[in-house]
This record gives sequence, C-alpha cells and structure tokens, in this order.
Amino acid sequence: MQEWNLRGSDADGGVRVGCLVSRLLTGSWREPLPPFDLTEEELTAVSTLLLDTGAAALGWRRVRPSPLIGVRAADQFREFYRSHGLQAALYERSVTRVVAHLRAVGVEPLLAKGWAIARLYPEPGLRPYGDIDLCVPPEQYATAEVALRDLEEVMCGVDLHRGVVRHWGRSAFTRMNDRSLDDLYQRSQVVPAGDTEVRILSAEDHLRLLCLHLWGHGAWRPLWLCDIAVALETLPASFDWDLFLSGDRRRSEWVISVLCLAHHLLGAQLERTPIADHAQQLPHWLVPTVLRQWGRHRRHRIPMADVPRRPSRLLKQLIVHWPNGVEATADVHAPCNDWPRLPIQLAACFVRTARYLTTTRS
Amino acid sequence: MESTHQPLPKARADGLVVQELMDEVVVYDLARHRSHCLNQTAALILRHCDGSTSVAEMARRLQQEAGVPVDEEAVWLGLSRLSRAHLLQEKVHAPVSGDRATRRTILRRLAAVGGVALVSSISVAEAATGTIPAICFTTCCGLCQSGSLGNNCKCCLPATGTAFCSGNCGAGGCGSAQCLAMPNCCNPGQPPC
Repeated sequence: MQEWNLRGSDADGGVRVGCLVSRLLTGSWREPLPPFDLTEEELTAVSTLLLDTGAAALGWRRVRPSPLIGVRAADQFREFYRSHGLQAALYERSVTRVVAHLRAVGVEPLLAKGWAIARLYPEPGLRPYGDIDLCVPPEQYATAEVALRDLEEVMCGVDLHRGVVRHWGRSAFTRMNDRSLDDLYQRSQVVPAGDTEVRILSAEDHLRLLCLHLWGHGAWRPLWLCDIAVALETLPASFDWDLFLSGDRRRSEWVISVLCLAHHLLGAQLERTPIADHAQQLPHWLVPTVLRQWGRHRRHRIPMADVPRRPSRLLKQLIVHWPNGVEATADVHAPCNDWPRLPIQLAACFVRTARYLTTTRS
Repeated sequence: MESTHQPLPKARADGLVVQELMDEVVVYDLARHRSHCLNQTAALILRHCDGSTSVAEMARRLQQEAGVPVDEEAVWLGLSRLSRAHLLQEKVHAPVSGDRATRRTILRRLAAVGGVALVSSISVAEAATGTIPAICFTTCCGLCQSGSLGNNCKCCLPATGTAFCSGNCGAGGCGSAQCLAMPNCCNPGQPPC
C-alpha cells in the first residue's frame, strides 16, 4: 500500500485514517498474524470505523496478542467478537433449519456470502452476519416463499433470490447474471454445516460474486475485502482461473481490480496466480478512493423514494447518495481505467435519477 | 468433600447453543434468552459435567488440563456458578464452607487459570421477534434521551435498541459520529429492546 505514495489532495484525513484501517486489517485472518504496529492513538482513531463496518472482531484478533490488549478500543472489539461468535452459532443453526425446511418441500437452495464465506476464516466470530442469502430456481420461487412463511424459530432474515435475474441489479445473485443458473448449480458444492449439509457456489463463482458485490457497493466495508482476501488465500488447488474470469468482460476487469485491491490494501497473496501481473496496473484513482471511503463514516442511505419531501432532507440524502468512483463505475458499467471518475459519477447520478423517476411514475 | 446426597453434575443437553471461541466459550440459552461467557476454567468444568464424573475426578482432570493445582472446593465453586446460570440439568449445592476468605482465594486461583470471571452473563433481549437476539454490551450504560444519545453515553437508543455509542463518556455525551447502527444491542439491566 505504501508504494502508492499518496500525496497532495490524496493524502487527506479520510485517506490517512483509511490507511490505518488497512494497516490494522492486513493479514488479520492469517495464522500466524503479521506483527502489530499501531499505536494506541492510531487504534483509537479507527476503532469506531471498525465497529461500524463489522470488522471489529478482526480488529480484536489483531490486538489480542499485542501490548494494546488492555485499551478501551480492544475491550470494545472483544465484545463484538463475543457477539459475533454467538451469532455465528445461532446463524448456522438458522441456515441448517432453513435449508432442511426447503429441501422438505423439494427445493434445493444455493447459499452465498454470510456463512459460505465465514466458514473459511480460521475461527468463528470473526465477522458478523446479516440475512441468509439463498438462490432458488425461478420456477420454485413461489414454493420456497410459502415454505419460508411457515417456518418458525429462525433467528435471522432470509433473502430469497429468484435465480439470476436477467437485468443488472444490486442484489447478490443478479450480479452473476452473465452465467446461467444451471451452470451455477452444476458447479456448486455441498459442504457440511452443523448436522446437515448445504449447497454453496463453487469457489470460482463465489469469489466472483463476492468481488462484484463489493464493487457494486463501492467497496465501503473493509470487511468485504477481508472476505475476498480470505477466499483468495484458501482457494482449492483445482481453482479454475479461466472459469472465474469468464463471462462479461467488463465485470471480469472489475473482479481483477478487486483482487488487486485486496493485495494492495490487505496484503492478500496474489503471487502464483495468473493475475499477479495486473497488481501494478491499477488505475491511479482506485486505491485512494477506497481508502478515503474506509476512513470516513458512511451515513445511512435512505431510498430516495422514502426521503421526506423537505429540501434540507433531500439535499442531505443526495449528498449521502453521491456514488464514489467504484460504485459509479459499476452503476454505468464503465471500464476500470485511468480516466477521471467525475464524468462517470455524474453519469451514474443521471442514470439513478432516470431510474428513480421511471419507478415513481410507474 | 464429595456430596453424597445429589446426583453427579450433568450439563444441559437441550436448549443451549454453545460456541467455542479462542479463549472462552459463549453459551446461548434458547429458553431464557440469556447468553453467558465462560472462561477456560468454567468451560472445562462444564465439559466434564457428563453425569458420571465425580467432583474429585473433575478436579484431577482439570489439574491435568489447566496445568495448575485445582482442588475439589474450586470445582464446587465453578459448578455453583454454572448452576446459577442454569447450564446444569439439576441445581448443584456445594458443601457448606462459610469461609469467605477461602472462597476469595479459590476465585483468585481460578481466575489465574483462565480469565477474570468464571461465568459472566451477557444479557440478551427476548428473541421473540424472530431475529438473532439482542446482546447487551457491558460498555452500554444508562438510558439515553430518546433519539438523541445526548446526555448519557455508552448506551443504545432505548426506544429502538438499534444504536450503540462507541465514544468516550464526557459532558457532551455521545456524538452522532460515534453512534453506531447496531441492530442487536440493548441496555444491560433494561427491558428488552
């Protein structure tokens, strides 16, 4: 990361704090851990950001063997680690129940993100969980939806996806619509989960989905890049890079950029991979954009349709919705090159506004 | 020391979700919606509560596994903490030993084996809403003014239970930048979020 030599306007406060986040999380998933080199002031400066973005437990893992174990930030990280650990157990219980319930009605769901990536970390509790992301064939969607409505005692929400919908959307599986659902199922793998088994995407498809998900959301959560770094360093020997990079060329360009980001910002090992040469060819704006994003609190985005019609609120939300260079690139399906991002960010705003107007009129 | 009037301690088999972490064990009680954090010693004692291991045998095994001298009295103390947390099938009553100083000594010794508290409870809100239960953070304190996080810090919004203040206590309370969205959060000692 230091080789980016951030200067001038790039070296603003956000970027500097983002650099601290990057230093703290570098190798945080590895065994043995890299040396810890943050001061107490630096740790305090990033603690809120880590708590806010779900990376506090990884922060705890880094601080645990360091002299800073007794500081306040470390205590907070530890509490989140315990909380995530407990949630991991409850989440796995929920996953197995949901999958078993769907199987009972003849639906075999595909699981992605959440548990599917957490299982690759060296210990439980290192990342938080949200919904259970499941994809089912479109013709079985209604059956699955009804079955889930009957299901009790599941402690987290289920985000049910109707196959890979044929339009560019923001949900996890629509980002994979350059592949057929049949192919995703055919390549999928069944892995043990608790006292049962669940079907997850193949390593190639899952890594691509994780990269596209991060890209589409402007890489704002450092945890997502940690997920990718973990996946990258635990790839099976049989990993098919050609398959991973197949499909929409522009998206493949983006996923290469994401892996290179993981290398530059978190020290993920790209050596001995076919994309190692790309690591030095990242566009100049990318690393500072992500670091700046990591160094700032991301305000909560309310869908524009729900924003109260008061000018002050509208203006505030418009600012919050301003896409960073990564998100804008995804929004308008732009190339990830050295061209300035401002025109692309403006174009992304235009596209969103058009979409918003179309939706509200219809 | 062995009590002959009660069955050998046995851990609850149902209704508990147990997660082993690096240096402690977190247990969630599905019936009571409470979670407990066990240090290594308490976790070892609980592991040996199989209904057939005597307290003397537990002490012997614990000594082997933890590498420090552990006597029966220490095991009894651990069992009573686990029992109080409802993690055993039947209540355990340690043989009477009224000496507080002795108990303090034992606690200190056990603390040296594995952490500070044998069993610390993490309060969680009732999981009736079908979500992962809310977990109270010990850094939460007091009630906030509704919606503002203005006067007290280290707390969550009592009305919604969706925020957690990560900042330092001070006259200004918790600044909005430090008010984190934390859906599974509530105030310790307060009603469920």
